[in-house]
Amino acid sequence: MEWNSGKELCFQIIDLAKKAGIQECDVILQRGQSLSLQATKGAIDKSKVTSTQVVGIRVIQDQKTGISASESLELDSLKMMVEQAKATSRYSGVDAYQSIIQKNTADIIQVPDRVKQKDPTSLQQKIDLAIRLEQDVLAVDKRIHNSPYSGYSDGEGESFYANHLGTFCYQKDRSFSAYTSALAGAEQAQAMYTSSSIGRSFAELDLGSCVQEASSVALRLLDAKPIPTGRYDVIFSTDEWESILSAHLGAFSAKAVKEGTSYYREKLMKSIAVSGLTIRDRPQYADGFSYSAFDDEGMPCQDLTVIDKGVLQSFFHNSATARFFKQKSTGHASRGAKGSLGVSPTQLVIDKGNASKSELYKGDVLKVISLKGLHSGTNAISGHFSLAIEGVMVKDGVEGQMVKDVTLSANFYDILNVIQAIGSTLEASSGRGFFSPEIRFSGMSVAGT
Amino acid sequence: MLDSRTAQDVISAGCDLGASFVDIFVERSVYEAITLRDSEVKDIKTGTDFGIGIRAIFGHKSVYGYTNIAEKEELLRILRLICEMDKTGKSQSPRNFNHQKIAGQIKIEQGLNKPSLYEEKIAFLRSVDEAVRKNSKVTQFDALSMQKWQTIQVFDSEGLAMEDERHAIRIPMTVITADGSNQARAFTGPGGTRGWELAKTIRPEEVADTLVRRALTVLNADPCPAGKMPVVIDNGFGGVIFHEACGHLLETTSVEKKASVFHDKMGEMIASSVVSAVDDGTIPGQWGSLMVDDEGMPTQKTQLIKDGRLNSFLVDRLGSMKTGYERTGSARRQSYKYAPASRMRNTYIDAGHDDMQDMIASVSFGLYAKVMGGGSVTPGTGDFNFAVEEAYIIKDGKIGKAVRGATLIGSGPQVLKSISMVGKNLELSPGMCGSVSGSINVTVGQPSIKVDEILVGGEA
Repeated sequence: MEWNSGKELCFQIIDLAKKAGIQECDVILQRGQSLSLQATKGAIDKSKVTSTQVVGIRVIQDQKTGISASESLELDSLKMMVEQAKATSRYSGVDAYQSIIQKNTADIIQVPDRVKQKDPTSLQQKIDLAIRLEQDVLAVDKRIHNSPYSGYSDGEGESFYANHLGTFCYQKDRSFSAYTSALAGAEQAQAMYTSSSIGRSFAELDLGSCVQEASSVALRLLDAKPIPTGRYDVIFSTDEWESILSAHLGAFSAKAVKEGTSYYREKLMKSIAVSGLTIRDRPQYADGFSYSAFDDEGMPCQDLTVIDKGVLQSFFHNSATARFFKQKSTGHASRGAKGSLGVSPTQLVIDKGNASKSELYKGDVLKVISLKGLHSGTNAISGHFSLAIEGVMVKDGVEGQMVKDVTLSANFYDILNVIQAIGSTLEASSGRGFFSPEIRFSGMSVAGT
Repeated sequence: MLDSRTAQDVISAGCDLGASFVDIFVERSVYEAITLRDSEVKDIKTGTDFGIGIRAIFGHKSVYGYTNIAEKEELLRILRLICEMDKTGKSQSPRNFNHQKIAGQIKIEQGLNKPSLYEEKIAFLRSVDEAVRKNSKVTQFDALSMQKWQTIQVFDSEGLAMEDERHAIRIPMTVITADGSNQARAFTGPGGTRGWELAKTIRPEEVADTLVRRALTVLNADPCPAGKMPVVIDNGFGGVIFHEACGHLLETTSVEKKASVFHDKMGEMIASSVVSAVDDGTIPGQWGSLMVDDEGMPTQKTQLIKDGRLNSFLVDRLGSMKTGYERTGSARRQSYKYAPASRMRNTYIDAGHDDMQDMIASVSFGLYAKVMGGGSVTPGTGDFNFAVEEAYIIKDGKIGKAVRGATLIGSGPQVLKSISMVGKNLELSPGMCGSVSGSINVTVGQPSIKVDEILVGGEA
């Protein structure tokens, strides 16, 4: 079995820690391999092959935590890593809530059947795909004069977790992706749009959609112009809605609640959104690409309803926040080999509503297809965001004027209460880690002409 | 690290496969991060990163691979994989190594190559924490002491063999204030290519006062009005506007693809004549400084724009091959996991001749962006977006009330031409820059500048 060598390594490190007198410890080992290809001017311009490994240990001594990691798996490096973790734990503050307690009755091993098969795709097929993406997008229209980013990548990743109580977990996965961009120009106008496709196998990649979306949106954006300043009903594309929501997910973290930085710290079991909104985290949702069998404390993952009919039902917990709030962990511990214990969701799924497409797009709606400056124009603490956007005005379901050079401003925590309609079809983000119907928000502030 | 013989063998193997150039980047980085939160040491992370990146160039095409395993067989396996699609029957001849020494490094007093001063570092973070928490509206204070000691080796098929040691420190600090359901934050992050001795130049009370004042200002501010207006951007981190609106467009990474609006503008006026700009990797101790870049070339001071005219791009080896411009010692990467690319170092608009008071006095209605936040730019179009962390309305030539939620949105080329006044008060400020070769430490900077018109995003 392919995970045996990793399992042996994890427990070898745990043995080293026990010999050093460490009371509690857990080990995370991550291994991976990847290939990426980028096409320019009809040939592969850049390619990259990687092979990585990193192991990290967390030790807890007298309620104090020490963390160390190493990318070298030589025995001397592993010994030094254990010693460093032990040494630094002496200086950490006492954390009465952090403890390594997960004791599973059996190993958790998650290797999907598709990953057990060797990828049959040849390197040449992958090269051909990357080159074809660029050529196809350039062939769509003479106004598309460049495709600066066209390429292909695939990768395999393995995650191991083990602790001093004998818990062992392992999962392996593989993904394939392709992307292309269209840079279009006409007179003084320039516009660029990028589209991607992700799959569990090479055959799942949808090149046609990538080329069609990148080229058609870039061309249409050439005619984009600002709209008058005012208030507009807005529907975000699934990717942009995921971006906005992700930027504010910290508010749903029990760790942020404990630290006093969550906007929702006093809102548990209270209404925070319209009654039609239900948001769940579904780690084992089979369609998702952020599938997880266990969290980073070795706890089996399970579904969690975060908002149910507008009411905040739960925060995301790891074992430390759960102990602080005197409840059970929700299985959302998050920690990389080099990192400290945190909290994060896996795959968010928003329940479908009952609005048909024509109801969603009744009257005038601004459909947002691109957000810019998300990391700088968003204040996750207060919820205020002010972002440059691109989009299209839609009237009674018919797309009209393309829009650019405008800013959209709102408060994330407020907009959950101005949802006017929720669509009846579930759509996936391009990374397939987020699933949501289209949602229409009322009267958002747009600054344009 | 890697012995020269193995490096030579791997490079020779790459040349035998027909590569016109091969280089190897070896990195060993020891890091330490001490986090203070809730007035307690939350955790201390330590560790060692180690890896080897191999790059082979065939014509104008670069292939790259990396591994954590420093064995010749593994390096050759990676090399053969990356060269698989380009190998030719034409063997090239690499030169023998000419080992080079680097001279002139500044003396590092307390780097991570020496025993760590955990108690002293924790005491410093606690002193800022105590000073900040004297204000009752402060609900949270986060502080980090981050240090890194990086040893690199660069070997290449032109005979280069060199080793360098780099030290870096940054102390990011964030204050959160609250008043009812309103929350606001303020951030500062002093840093340099130094050891812990940098902290001795920072006065905890002074940092605390500045952070609390800024967070309270934003907390009590009204929403920012939106629309096109003149903007006065203050010095220091205000330079992020140049970094985003112009600097990225001058990297050959985007110029070589013609994805930059400046790709064919060398020698032309691309900015107002009051604007001169520099990217300087040689300033001792600055956060973006280097002795040699990540291709082993000594770094330099590069005059990007002189009196509004485009004077130089930032050029790495591949960029030089593709564009014909000379290398500028600007090849940088986050780690061995990234192939080098042309990137900024310490980038700033040079000092001008105007007074800040005159800039404010010249505006009848506009925005004073005192402290800028982060931003981003689309290389193809030059469109950018910046957050303003602390902003005030300018009315009738005077600074008025504070406003929150302001963002500056526009196009790089247009803004560069709209700068009408440049102050004398040049100041530099550290930041992190993410791009094709990862997240790297850079310094941005400028004196105060006045831009005649920018679209300000706020509330309509």
